[in-house]
Amino acid sequence: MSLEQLIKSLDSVEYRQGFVEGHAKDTIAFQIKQLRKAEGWDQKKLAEVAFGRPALQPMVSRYENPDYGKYSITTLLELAAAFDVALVVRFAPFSELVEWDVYSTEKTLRPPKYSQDVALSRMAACDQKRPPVDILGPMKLDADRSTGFLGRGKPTDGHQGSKEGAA
Amino acid sequence: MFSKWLGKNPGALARFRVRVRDLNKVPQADWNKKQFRYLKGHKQLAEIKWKWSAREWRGFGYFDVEGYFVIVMGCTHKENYDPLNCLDTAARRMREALTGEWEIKSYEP
Repeated sequence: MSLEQLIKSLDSVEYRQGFVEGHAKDTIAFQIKQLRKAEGWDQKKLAEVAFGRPALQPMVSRYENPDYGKYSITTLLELAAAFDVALVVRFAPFSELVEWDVYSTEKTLRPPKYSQDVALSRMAACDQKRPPVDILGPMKLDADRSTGFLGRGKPTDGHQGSKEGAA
Repeated sequence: MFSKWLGKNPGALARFRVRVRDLNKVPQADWNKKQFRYLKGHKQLAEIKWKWSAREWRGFGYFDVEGYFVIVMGCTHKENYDPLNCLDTAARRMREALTGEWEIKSYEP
């Protein structure tokens, strides 16, 4: 199926649901297994590292079943901590999922752990060459707004005169 | 035949696409029995399994000499196979496909 055909298939609500469900359930299950194997661990060892109890091996076996899909965010966080990788759980546009569907590989199923994440050092190196960017800018703006709202200082972002600012 | 049958169930088709693509990304040794298994008593015949809408879906087939998985039959399973005789039909079709009685079309979900 070409990319164009895939995008056309997404016109169907049922296809979209299956596509999202498939990626949510399959990807996690495949990733758990691939990440575990990359560590050279058996399921018992992962149960011990992630949950502190080797006896929970049957749970790991369930998690590696792509039809299971009943993970809690807490469990996923424990697994992410065990593998020392990040966890991203969020709603996203379909375009992002299509990109993952089309371009993900065995390698992307097995993200590097923090200590081996060379992209991080590359990002840091690139950032040093760029003019400084105030990444806290929007947050500071919000902080200013709340200060203005609470009347503990002068609003500085145009809120002066608004109902909120006046209150 | 399989693509027409599955095409009538867009959700199952999408789940199948994701399953096949994920299986393709990892070595066969890492495939779980819940995703793929050879069928006992049917030499070479295997099934790819996936779930959609509280039903199990199966694609029966075999690996040809070039390593492509040739799907000869699809069915669903909830207590019983639907159609009931799908295993026998799949085994027969596999034999026929191996002797060149079927035209095999390339298919990527």
